[in-house]
Amino acid sequence: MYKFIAMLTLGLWCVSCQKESPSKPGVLVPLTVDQNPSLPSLPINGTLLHVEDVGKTTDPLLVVVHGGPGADYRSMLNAKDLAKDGFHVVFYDQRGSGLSKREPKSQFEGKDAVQLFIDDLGALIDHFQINSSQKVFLLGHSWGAMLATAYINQHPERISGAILAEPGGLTWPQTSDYLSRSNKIKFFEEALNDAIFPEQFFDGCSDQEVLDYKASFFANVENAPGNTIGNAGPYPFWRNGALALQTLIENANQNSFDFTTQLQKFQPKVLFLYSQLNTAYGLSWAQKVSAPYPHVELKEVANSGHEMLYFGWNDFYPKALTYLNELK
Amino acid sequence: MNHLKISLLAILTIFCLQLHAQEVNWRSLVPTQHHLVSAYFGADYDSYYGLSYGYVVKNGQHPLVLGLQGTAPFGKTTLDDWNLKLSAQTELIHAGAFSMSVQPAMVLRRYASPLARIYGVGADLTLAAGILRPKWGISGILAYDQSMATQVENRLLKTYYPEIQDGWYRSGGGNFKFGMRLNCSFRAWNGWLSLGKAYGLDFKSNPTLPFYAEISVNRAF
Repeated sequence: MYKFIAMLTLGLWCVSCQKESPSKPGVLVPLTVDQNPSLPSLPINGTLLHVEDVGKTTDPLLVVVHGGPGADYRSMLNAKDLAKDGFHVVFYDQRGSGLSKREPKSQFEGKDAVQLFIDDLGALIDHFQINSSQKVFLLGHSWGAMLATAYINQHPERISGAILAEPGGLTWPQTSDYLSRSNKIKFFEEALNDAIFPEQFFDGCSDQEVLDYKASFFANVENAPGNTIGNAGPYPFWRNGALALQTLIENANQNSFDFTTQLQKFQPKVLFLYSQLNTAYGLSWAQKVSAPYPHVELKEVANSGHEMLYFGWNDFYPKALTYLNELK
Repeated sequence: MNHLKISLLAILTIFCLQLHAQEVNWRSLVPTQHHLVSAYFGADYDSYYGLSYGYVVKNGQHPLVLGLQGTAPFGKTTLDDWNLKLSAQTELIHAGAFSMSVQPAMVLRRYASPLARIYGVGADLTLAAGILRPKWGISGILAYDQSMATQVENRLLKTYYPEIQDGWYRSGGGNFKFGMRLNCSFRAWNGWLSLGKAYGLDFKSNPTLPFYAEISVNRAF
């Protein structure tokens, strides 16, 4: 009771005292590459991306494509191990995501918004590929595996192989079906109020810093005990790009997409991974989603949920390395 | 220490004197009834349940009800998150079956999860206008909730981003609510159903759950 009274008094006192703006850059979410020049960055396709690379530039290129949309590559940093195995590993935060520069909502609204993401990936490959004989591999997780597929669908000749970890779907109806199972709202559960209750404190403010801070609380749903997608708990991230996430999902709902129209032209084998603990995915869904690829190797990552590059790396790594060495 | 306790209690008492009003059917309230106790549940940002107490200071012309309303979301961890509302309610206009009432309130909020703990202070104003009869009523609702100050203590977010700043933040904004309320009364019992939609202050940043609904039962004695 005394604690409550103390908080009440302190609260009333602080109503009249100096307070920080939640929109001030850096106070609630990390600075992005345009705000912090010490971060590794690359100007690509009209934006500034957070980009880092590890390994010899002459080794086969492996571009790591993170999930979301709107998330970042922090939970995929285990893939740096592959640099020791003879790959030039490139990480990047996608447009408007993670530590990459924020972009206005309009960039994510148009019918060609996903094309912008495909073109960014293409421009990144152009930047790091030293000559046309250097092989290029993609490693995509979740939405990143969908984006990697979207790129392969348009440029099958440029990619020598791909590791795809639980893309929700390769068309919007398929993705929507998966999301309805993986993100099922349990209305009376703690995880839901852990995710949306904070909105009341910062409601009605469209500043991206505030939207990104509020979006970070959605990690509570994804990683709550007993979560559908099998994550063992929370995992680190830099910034959830709220605008990119929300607007691209609205966009897909409105305009739909199909990344499979030319996949039959892609001849290299694809390593398609699904996690043992994600109850919304499983072998049958993996078979269904991967079906448009002509050559697929399906494998389960043991003792992990959806975030398998973080929680399931011990099993993911040897499978990925064997595959890459085969096609190197 | 005693001096501090007395000061704190005095401050609380001052605010308790601006206490809350819960939903009141002014037409069914009789002069001998001074207490209103309500139980309610619903969805507004999240799913919740709560209890409230109202004290009828004055009945008749320009009535006044003061009250305290405690609300907590459903979930496994009880009382890690809550809203506490202290408010006053009066009827501004009573002309035949038409009634218009106003309810200003002070709102305190707490939130806790593995990522952060947040306290918030805000103010809320609700206007209700419509037909109110002894046995039933229907009103339109307009409400505005302004967040005034927020105190943040980041937990797991601090391990992800050590430079994150704990402390007091000024308002991130507020929200509007537009809705309607139906009520029916039987002797000392009243039942209420509220439905509506919430919008962010800028009408762009709207809540994830943009609708609200509440069922409430109260008894006057």
